[in-house]
Order: sequence, then C-alpha cells, then structure tokens
Amino acid sequence: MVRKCPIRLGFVFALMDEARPFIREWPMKPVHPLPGFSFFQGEDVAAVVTGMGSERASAGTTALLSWIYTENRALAPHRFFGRTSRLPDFSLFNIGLAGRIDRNPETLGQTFLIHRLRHQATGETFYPDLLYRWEGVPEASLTTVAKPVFGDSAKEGLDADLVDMEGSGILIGARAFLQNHQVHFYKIASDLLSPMKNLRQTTGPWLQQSARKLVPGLKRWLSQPPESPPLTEAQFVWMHSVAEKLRFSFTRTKTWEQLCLSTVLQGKPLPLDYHPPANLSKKDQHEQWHHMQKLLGVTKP
Amino acid sequence: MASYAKTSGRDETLSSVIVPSPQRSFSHLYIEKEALDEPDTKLLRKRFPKATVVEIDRYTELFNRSGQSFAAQKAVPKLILAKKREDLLYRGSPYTPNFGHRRFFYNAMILNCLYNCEYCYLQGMYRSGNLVWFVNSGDFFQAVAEELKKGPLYLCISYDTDMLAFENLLPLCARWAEFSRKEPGLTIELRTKSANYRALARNAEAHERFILAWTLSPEAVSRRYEQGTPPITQRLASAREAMEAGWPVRLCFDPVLLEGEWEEDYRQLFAEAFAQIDPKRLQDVSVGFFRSNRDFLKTMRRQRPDSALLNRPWQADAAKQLTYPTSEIEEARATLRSELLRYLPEGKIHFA
Repeated sequence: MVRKCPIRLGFVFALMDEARPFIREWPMKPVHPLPGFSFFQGEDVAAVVTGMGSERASAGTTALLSWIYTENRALAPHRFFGRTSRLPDFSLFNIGLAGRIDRNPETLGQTFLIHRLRHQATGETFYPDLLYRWEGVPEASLTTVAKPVFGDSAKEGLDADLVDMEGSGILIGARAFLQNHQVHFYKIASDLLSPMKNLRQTTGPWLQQSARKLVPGLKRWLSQPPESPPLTEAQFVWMHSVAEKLRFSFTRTKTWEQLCLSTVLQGKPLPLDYHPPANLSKKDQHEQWHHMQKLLGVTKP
Repeated sequence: MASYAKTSGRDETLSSVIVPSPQRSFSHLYIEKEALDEPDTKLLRKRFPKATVVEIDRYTELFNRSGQSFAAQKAVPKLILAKKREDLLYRGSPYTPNFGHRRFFYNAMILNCLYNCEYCYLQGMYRSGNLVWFVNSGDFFQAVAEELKKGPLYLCISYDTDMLAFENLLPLCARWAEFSRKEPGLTIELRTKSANYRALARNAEAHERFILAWTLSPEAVSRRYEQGTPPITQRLASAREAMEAGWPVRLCFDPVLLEGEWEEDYRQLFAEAFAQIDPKRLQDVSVGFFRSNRDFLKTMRRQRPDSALLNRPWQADAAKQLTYPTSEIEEARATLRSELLRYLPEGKIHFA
C-alpha cells in the first residue's frame, strides 16, 4: 500500500480476539512490515497483535512504533523538526481484557480508562496524562503481573482495580518514541480472577461493544488537523541541503537550524533559491557559513 | 455515542478540543497518601467535588518523571496535592532583585501557575505543566520562623507560581499576611499578575511589611504573550484598590520585551499606571529585561517550537544569561529610566 498520509493512531493488542472487533470496526488490513508479530493498517492507523505477557507486549510495541516512525519520517520529515516527541502527531492505544481485582460481577464487560499503572515486578508506577476522556467511561487503576493470577489470595499486593499482563510492557516499549500524553490504556473487565472458559464467547460481545463505543470517537478525533510544523517541507529540505553541502558539524547544524527557525518565526523569508556549491574546501565552507548567516540577516554583535 | 473531550472538568464537545479552555477547574486530583488527612487537602477536595481522586505515593513520581509535555499538560493541568519534606526555604537568586535586603529568601508552596506566559521560565524549569500544591503549610511557616531567629528576613512567596490567583481556593496569601504582621523581622513580597486582590482583602488587613507586587507589560505584549492573565486595566485597578486600603504596592515591569514600538508602548503603560497609582504612595518599581538561563531556554524552545520570541538569537551577557545585546539593554535602560523619572524619584527605581 502506498501511504498518502502519516499514521496518527496506533493500537497494541495482546490477543487476536481482542484486536478483531477494532480491526473490523475501523477497518484495517493485514500487512507484513516486520517479522515476529501480526500487523494491520488502515489509512492513518496501524495495529499490532503482540501475544501475551509483558515482554512480548514491549517488543511488539517497539516494533510497531519503529515501523510507524520510519514510515512517517519518510513521508513528512519536516513534521519531526523542532518537536519534543520523537513521533509527533501520534497517539498509541492499548485496548484489552483485564481481571477485576475486587471481584465485583457488576463491572464485567465494562470499559475502563486507566489512570494509574503499576508494574508489579519493579513497583514502578506510571500515571497516564489524561488530557482527553470519554464521557461515560469510568476510570480505574491497573497492575501488570508476570503470570496469570487466580483467587482471593492473588489479590494481595496488587493494589489496583484491574490486573493484566501487558500494560507496563507496552509502556516500556513506547518510551523511546512517545511522550506520556501520547499513550492511553483502556481495559475491559473480563473476569473476576477465576480461570475463564469459552473466552471468545464470553468476551466477544464485550469487545464488540467497546469497539463500537471507542472507534467512532477516535475517528472524529483523527479528523482534527495535526499541529502545524514550524517549517514547511520546502524550507526544511532547503535547510538540510545547505547543512549537508557545507558539511556542517553537529553543533553547527543545530545553530543553523535555530537560525533558520528564528528567521521563519520572525516572519522573514528563507533564501530558498540560493544553493551553496558542493565539494568546497574547508576554508570555502567556512566562508560560506558566514555568507549564509548574512543571508539570514545575522550580524556580529 | 460517546464523545471524546478534554478533561478540563466540564463537559466539552470535540469541536472545542483544539482551543485550550480557560476553565480553571481540575478533572483530577492526585493526592499523596501522606497528605490525605492534611486540613488543606480536605478544603481543596471540597473545592473540586467532581474531580477524580488518584492516590499517589510521592508527587515526584508524577511531576518529575521524564517524557512529559509541559505544553500539552498546561492546556488541561491536573492538581497534585503533596507534602514538601525538604527545601522549605531557598536563598534568593543573584539574578533577582533583593531591594536592598541582605537576607533574601523565597519559598515555593505551589509549583507552576494558572497562567501560560510564553516567556515564562517555569516551562524550562519543570518537566510537568501540572500544578503541585504543598498542603503542609504549617511546615513552611515553621521554616521561616526558624530562619527569623537568625535575623530579619525578606521573603518572596510567589516566585514559581502566582499565589494570589489561587486565593479563592485557599487563603494562603492572607495566612502569610497575618503571619508577617506578627513577625516584626519579616518582610514579604507577593508577586502577581492576578486581579484577585479582593480575595486577599476578605481575609487579611494591610500592613507595611507585606508588599503586593504587580507585574505589568504593555497591553500588546500582554495580549500576545501572557495567555490567561487579566488585562492590564484590571491589574492596575487591583493595585489601586490595594494601595488605597494601605498595602505597600510595587510595580514590576519584568520582563521588558524590546518588541515593535516598545518605547511608545512603555510610555503609554507608565502614563496609564501612574494615572491610577499615586507615585508618592508607591513602594517602588522594578524593571528587568527578558533574560534566561541557557538550559532553561533550550527546554523552553523545545516546548514551544513555534515561539518567535523564544527562538530568536539571544545573546549571553557577562553572567552567561541569554538576553538582548548589552548595547540594546543599555539604551533601553536609559530610555525607561528617564521615562520613569518623570513620575518617580531615582531611589524608587530598581533595575534587575
């Protein structure tokens, strides 16, 4: 598929049963950008099914984000310039099943937005940035465990409303790419810490219901335009071609980028028609650097 | 159908998502377990009865963690209620004016501010745009009382926040005003852009060692760079009211931005200010040009890549602060000084 627009939304699922209703509701098609996991994509969304457990969730999340990073960067590199996030204009959602620790049967099938996530093995706690919320979706806390837990005795030390096996792994896998506010967790209460029979039959309708609730709202959210980048694509390409031709060092490239950004933000044009000659001697490169600064209106203090 | 809305504490439709809401309610209160029983926690919880409460161990695990977006959080900030266990009092920075006080301190009972000024150093200093409110206020008063045993003290209580803007929630400023009235060695400065003077006046009476310092900028600067702040006319009206009630009032023209027709803008601002405020009764004025620590500015630029102000090529001064070129500052200082001298004696004008 030739991509026309950047991927702005990603989903991580542990199980195909969890993914299926969302993939159908969107819709998304299977793709094979990387080995090891099942990937799906729609026009501006993508998903990965990782398999169960924190480690697989972490690896699958990193794989999904690496793929999206490469795709988005190739499509619109200027959108990455000057942004705090390594993968800007993007949000990641983990949607999946979780056990209800208080064993309250009335909560079965309900979708919860997670406001606190604890990794049981390390005790590390994460608080998602709840910049958006769904009307009518209650909140809950979540603990991620290494092995399935059953029965009342398993409740000890979990200190949460829900328990799963992937949440904190997804967070770890996302850290290299995303800022806190870009990662969201939704969990559907699927059991009361007891072994489940006929998982698909029991949870299928709940997952369907959750997908019908969440997908239309996410689509409307996606219809909002992303933040405008500070430089246009043409300005960004010119800025980088100058840095490459004049073989700027890392530090000088940063200074150059700051100068270009400052020039544009002051409402002044960049001299996009000027292209410095390539393959200059070190001395000539240095002179060109001063010339470029002059072109941008920089005068020595 | 469910709607996806910003969590500013009121129901908002998707169409309003893009524009940060000026609503100053909080959808979530994150409360340290150890702070749950503090009286101020209980009072603040009553102020936000609809807020979801999330219990936390330490505020630092939320506020100091890496990977946060100050700008994104600032649009819909959350309130963190915590206990401050150390550093209840800091020595004043050499880059901030001490107005002749040898023992100059400041404290931070609230971290971050309700306003969202484009030039604000807090966005370079803190990793989070959320607000932290330290509810163990008694410990802060105790720390000051201990320091007072060593000698008189000049204390700024509203540096890393705008405390007066919160006065409707809890009368912290009034508590400090009453505390300083009983401590003869203590002089306090409350710096603000708020027009919330009446909230203070409800709970405290004026006295000479509690200085109310209003920060003012030309209206054009305020409109462009001081998002969420009250208009200059309202700040001046508050300052006037405070002065008439007997509070010492200081005017702070800080940061001065040398933008556009700044000479004419400041001329007009001074004229407007001194038409409202009697220069004879004014404590003094403080003037400071935009300046920033290099590391803070680097972070601020990352938070606001589209800010023309932050991304301009600032120059390092002798103290390695990034600011305007020295020659421009000298010239501007002379211009502003001569303009201020039309209203005030030299001794009442302090340049940072």
